[in-house]
Amino acid sequence: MGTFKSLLMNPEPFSFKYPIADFDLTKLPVDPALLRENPAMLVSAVRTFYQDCFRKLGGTANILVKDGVVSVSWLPKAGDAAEQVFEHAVSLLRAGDYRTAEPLLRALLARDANHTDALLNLGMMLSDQRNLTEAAALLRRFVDLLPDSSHGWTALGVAQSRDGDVQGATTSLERALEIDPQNAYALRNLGALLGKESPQEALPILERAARLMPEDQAAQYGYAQCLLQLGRTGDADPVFVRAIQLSPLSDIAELARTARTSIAHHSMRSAVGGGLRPDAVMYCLDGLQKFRDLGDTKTRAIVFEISMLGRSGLDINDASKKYSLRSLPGTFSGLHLVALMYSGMQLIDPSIDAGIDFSREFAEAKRLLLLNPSRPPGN
Amino acid sequence: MSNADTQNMIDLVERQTGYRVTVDVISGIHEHAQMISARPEAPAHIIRVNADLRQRADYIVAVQCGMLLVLWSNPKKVPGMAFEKSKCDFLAGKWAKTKQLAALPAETAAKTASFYVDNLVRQVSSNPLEIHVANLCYESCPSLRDMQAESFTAHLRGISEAFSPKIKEIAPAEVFQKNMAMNAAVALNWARLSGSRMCLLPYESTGLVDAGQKLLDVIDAAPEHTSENHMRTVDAWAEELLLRTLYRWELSNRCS
Repeated sequence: MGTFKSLLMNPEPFSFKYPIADFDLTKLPVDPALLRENPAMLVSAVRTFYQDCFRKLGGTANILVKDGVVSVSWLPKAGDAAEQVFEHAVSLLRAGDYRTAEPLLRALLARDANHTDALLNLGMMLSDQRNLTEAAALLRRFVDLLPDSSHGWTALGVAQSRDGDVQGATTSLERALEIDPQNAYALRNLGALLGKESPQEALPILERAARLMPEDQAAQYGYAQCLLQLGRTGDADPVFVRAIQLSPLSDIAELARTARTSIAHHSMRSAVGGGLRPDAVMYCLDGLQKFRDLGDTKTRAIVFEISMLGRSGLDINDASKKYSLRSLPGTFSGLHLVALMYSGMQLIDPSIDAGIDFSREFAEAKRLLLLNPSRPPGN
Repeated sequence: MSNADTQNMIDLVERQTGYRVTVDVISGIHEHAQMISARPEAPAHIIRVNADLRQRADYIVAVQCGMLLVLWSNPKKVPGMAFEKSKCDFLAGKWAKTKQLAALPAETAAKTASFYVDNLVRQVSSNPLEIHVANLCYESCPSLRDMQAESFTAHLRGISEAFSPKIKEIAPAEVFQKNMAMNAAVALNWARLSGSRMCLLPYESTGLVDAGQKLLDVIDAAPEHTSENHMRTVDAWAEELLLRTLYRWELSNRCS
């Protein structure tokens, strides 16, 4: 804190230097090889980079590139230079621009090795980048300086967990929760660690994390997966739905979709004791009759449209007619559409994987159609 | 989609075109995304995002939707570009005889020249659309600006590889000039949106900024996001770059 006070009383530029060879060219909008081949353009790129960086902060920036060394000096219009640089670094981290943030955080630590905010943020950034040894060292220093920081212990626990140190991670996360029992990140990460061995023990922890962080996909998925592990499929499904909605194209969403498909199949069959679904038979029969009348091109269009609609998830365990198609008039339940799609795929090419097994229902529908070819559609 | 601006773009496309938008991820492609626009026999637009770029999926999907909004401003007249094969072959034959390509075996020179012609024609169609859509997304999707910056930074880095002496040496000067003029227009537009001239450094050092600015002026003079304006812009660029005879427009009715 002494450094901050002296800065406030005696404003001075925020300065740092480093070899130009250390400047990361890989995220600039210019080919790195081109810059390496053209020293004058490289110098312009470095200068422009820092001019852009400090323009957002105002004040005066001087960037000198000489004898292979980049020297940056920035004087704010007013206020504490270090504090403004730190805030700028944090905003860069939030935007995912680690490359620009890193030299600023390191410069802050070079000026004050006990700058706790810089320690925490650089430590978490390095942890995200899987530079786990340095991350753990910085975060350990942070909790030594601020032993009552729940966030610090959580960040250390996450870095330890990523490094495979389960025991150390558990201890750090438990310490974080002793300090702040409502620390949702600590709950989520501790729950994930415990869930591998003991889902029963992890469940209340993950439930609290999911409740505290309703917008966190990992928290929702972790809770849903734990419910599924414990056989509570009915409770797990809506939580998987929530996890998918939060980021539909993520890896986690794909895992959640797979889990939902298996839950839906299980629920659909268990509703009839594992036997034939008469409603699905009638829907398959409806498909056979419709597609016979509509012909191949229209059948393909309908099957295509249902399969595309199915990417967002068709609820086959809800009987309400809540879906409509452009290629086929009417409203349909999820089960009806899936049975139509299955029937269409069987007619187009039986080797296509429909993602659901209606083979018994389809065979029964074909048998019924042969018995009574003029039967009106079931719907 | 979880991002409200992206979802808004999807909703606009669905309302304007009458077809549902399906978003998926796909592995093993080089481009940011694949888009298959709807037709009556396949009644949904499919946007498939490169799995390696899923962190930027919201922006990538918004861009694809932006393209649909422009190209499908009239779903009864969706433009597509068809090559005028004889004109393309003639130009390729001419370029195959340039000093850069004449040194190659005849078959390789012919193939390389055809490749240049095809790519320039595709580029004259895609770059004006890219600029229109970049501007549309910048205005309509403020929450995606960080992703847009990341995306453009990577894209501009990639296209600046063409300044490499190895590439300059093997491309006929005319090909290089046309390609770079269009790239410069893309870079100029991004420099204006981002407020940083960093991406212009290679173009400034080779004197290509003016050629790019001339093309960008065409877009600035007619900024409407419609398919008719898109075709007019492409034609104006093609006139400027002496490529206008190499293609024709074909309009398809996607409502039937």
